[in-house]
Amino acid sequence: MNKKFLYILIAGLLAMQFSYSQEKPLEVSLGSINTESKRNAIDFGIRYAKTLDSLFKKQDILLSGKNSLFQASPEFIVQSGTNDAFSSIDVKLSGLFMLFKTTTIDNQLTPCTDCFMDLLPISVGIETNNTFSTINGIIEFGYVPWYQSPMMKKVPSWMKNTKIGVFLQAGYKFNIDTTNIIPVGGQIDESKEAVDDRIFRVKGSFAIDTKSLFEINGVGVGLVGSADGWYDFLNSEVYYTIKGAARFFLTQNKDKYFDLKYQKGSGAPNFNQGDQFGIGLTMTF
Amino acid sequence: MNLVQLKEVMKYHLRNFNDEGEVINDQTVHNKILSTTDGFGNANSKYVYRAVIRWTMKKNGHQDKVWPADWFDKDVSYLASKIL
Repeated sequence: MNKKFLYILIAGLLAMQFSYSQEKPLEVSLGSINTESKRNAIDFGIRYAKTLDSLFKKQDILLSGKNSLFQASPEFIVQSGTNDAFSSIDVKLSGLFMLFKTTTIDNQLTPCTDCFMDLLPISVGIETNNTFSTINGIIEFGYVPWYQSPMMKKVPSWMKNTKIGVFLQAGYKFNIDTTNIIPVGGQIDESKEAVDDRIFRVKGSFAIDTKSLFEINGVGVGLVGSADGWYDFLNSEVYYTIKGAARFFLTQNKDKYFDLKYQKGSGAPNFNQGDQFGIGLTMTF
Repeated sequence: MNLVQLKEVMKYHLRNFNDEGEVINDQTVHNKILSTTDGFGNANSKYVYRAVIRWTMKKNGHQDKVWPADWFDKDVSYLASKIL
């Protein structure tokens, strides 16, 4: 079967299956891009996060301390496409450890969500590319400050549209390539991480989402951007990816939007330093 | 904790995630306020909201019940009645 049709078939089946779920945790995007090797390609993305109890009808893990809690759930993220489009596949079981102050609402003790909170994501999973030439087994520990609450008066309003995080990543890069296909353009693995060897890096992330800045004929327009940087301790190497998009919201509840987008660097696992740009439609279910 | 108290706790947390300027009351639908894209991974408002409500239930002596699969598309009153 043609590889392009296989991708579209898999994406379609996933979308059909997940769109019937009632929690609507699915985000699907489809677009047309110009790749690193200046070829036109179709790209698609899938982001799926769902709690364990809604998947298995059993309550998922919750550990509750005096001023802390821990909750775990799975997450599935795919970015891929035809020709030499960037590709990355992340499958994780993620937990979130939270530290917070408490307050009393109607005589009930509860976490203070209009106070500064510390969020520490912890995950175990794999990262790979669409040729599955290598699989990275990764354990990740992160720190994400939560300062976005509208009630937090000391934080400038523009800053509430941003998010930052730092993550320590350790694991192993498994070579599973049996195809001997030579990748081109944006599919080339430009990572210095050797196959069948350890991985140890730190990742810093910054993102901004202005939501709808203004409207043109009833269509909300906003800007979205993110930057991720990695330092590879074992190879003394720096990798990065920068993404930016002008976003046009097609519905009032912002569940469908159209992006004019640019991306420099593929990110993990290939860390390809090419670029690609294009247009895409995203829908959440 | 009774139903009224649980709904007050829910509305308190929804107000703190409400950067959309929506009216918060018993009929507020969760997906109008919460999102999975306002944080990195599961450090997002939808996930945090669920965690803090579950923590509140446990710390105030209630059973940590399974949440209905459709809670995100339902309002405060519906969810409170299902998990108390």
